[in-house]
Amino acid sequence: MSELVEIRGLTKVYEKKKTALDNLNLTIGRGRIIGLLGPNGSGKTTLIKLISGLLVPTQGEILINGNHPGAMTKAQVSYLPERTYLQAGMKVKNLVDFFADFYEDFNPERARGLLANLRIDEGARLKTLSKGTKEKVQLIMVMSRQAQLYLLDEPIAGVDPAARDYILKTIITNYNPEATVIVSTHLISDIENILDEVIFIRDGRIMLQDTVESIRERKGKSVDAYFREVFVC
Amino acid sequence: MLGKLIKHELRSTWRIPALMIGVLMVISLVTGGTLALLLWSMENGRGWIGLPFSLVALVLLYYAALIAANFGVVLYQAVHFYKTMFTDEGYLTHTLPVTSHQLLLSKAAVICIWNLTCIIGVFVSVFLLGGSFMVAFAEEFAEIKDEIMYVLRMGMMENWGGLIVSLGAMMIVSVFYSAAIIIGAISIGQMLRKHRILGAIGAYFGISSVVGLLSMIISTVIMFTSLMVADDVMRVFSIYTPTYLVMALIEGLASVGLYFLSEYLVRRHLELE
Repeated sequence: MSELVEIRGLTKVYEKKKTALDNLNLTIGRGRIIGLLGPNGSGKTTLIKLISGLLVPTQGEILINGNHPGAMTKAQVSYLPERTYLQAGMKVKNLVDFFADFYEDFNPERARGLLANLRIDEGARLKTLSKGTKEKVQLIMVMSRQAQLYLLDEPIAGVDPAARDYILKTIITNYNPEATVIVSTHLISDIENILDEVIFIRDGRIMLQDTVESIRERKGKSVDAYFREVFVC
Repeated sequence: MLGKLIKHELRSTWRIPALMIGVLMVISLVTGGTLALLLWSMENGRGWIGLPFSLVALVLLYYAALIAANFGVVLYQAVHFYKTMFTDEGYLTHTLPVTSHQLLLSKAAVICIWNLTCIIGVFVSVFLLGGSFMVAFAEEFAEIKDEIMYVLRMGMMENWGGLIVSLGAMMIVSVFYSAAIIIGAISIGQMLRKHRILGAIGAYFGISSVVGLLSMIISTVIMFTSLMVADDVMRVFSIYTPTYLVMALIEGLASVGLYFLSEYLVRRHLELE
């Protein structure tokens, strides 16, 4: 079976001045939880947005299950951006209906169960919810899909430790085990224990792609410690 | 998928247009009722001295509601399109498993639906406003109608049916053009790195001016040509009918061009921040 994601010669330049990604080559297999790790401005979000189809490459190509990003790949990819992206005036139950309408792999019962666990009123409008609750609602919608690729951009940034644990638990217990989850973060110590593989990225280039186990064996240290060594300021 | 997109787009945009058109209807009814009351009081020598002043105030309110219903709805649609396509909400829109054609067609269709609803709303409001007037002066209006039918049967008013058709075509095309220019202007504005909203406003007025100028030049040429070949310069409808049809054609072509340009920009140059 071919790789889930193949990236060849990917370059993204903003305004003909800033190179966010520089001739990136990467393959991502199936059934993995992968940490996309790098300092701020390293190109993590740009890479995720390119795979999601929210940006167009300057050069190179991305293939997801052999297809370029488009309507077909968007049906297979579940994306959680780092920002609140839901329409404020929408009710939670309308959001569940919205996802159920457009995504065949969306499980509305699971979404409702997760919402009920958090005591989120389905009749509430999104604009009445706190920032943290909105982020949880977004996460629930994304993780209630049986996608082939989950792209989570900084899912645990800016939340309290209890919420962080909830988010990580939701990711682990709800994702499709045959799928791949790519989590971009710079809070490595919180997430290291759930990762199978890591990708280090700096200045738009891949520094390292390896399994967590291999890094620990070869370097004799945690991924977090090794990250601090590689990306020392 | 297109049907689902239209359904959800209608669901998320119905409140403001419904409110504006609803308010217009209420004000039309109240103004029409006040007018009827004033006419009755004048005929019967009764009434409250404040009625004429109330009517003036209500007529001004009616004009305000008319402007709000027309421009307000267009502005609301433009802001909604911008927010759902090019701000944070665009992350949800552009990760849906739909093509850029389906996305833009659904947005354009809903803008057209609300534009058409506004036009119908305006016609209904005029009827509500003037209905009481027509009932109060039914005999006089019957005489006016007979006069109009007499004039229409005169030679110079030949082909008035053609004029109605050409005006109708222009009105229908303008519904699509109004949607296309909103979508086109905002998509063009997104090409700028900074001042995207200003860019969209500039593009809107720029496109309107160019299309308007082109329409004026071509329609003037056609009008003069029609005048020169007309066997009777009093056959005004035979001069205006082709003019309106050409103006409808120009706006129609502009609409198609703006749509495909927008689709290309969304598909190839989307840069959601």
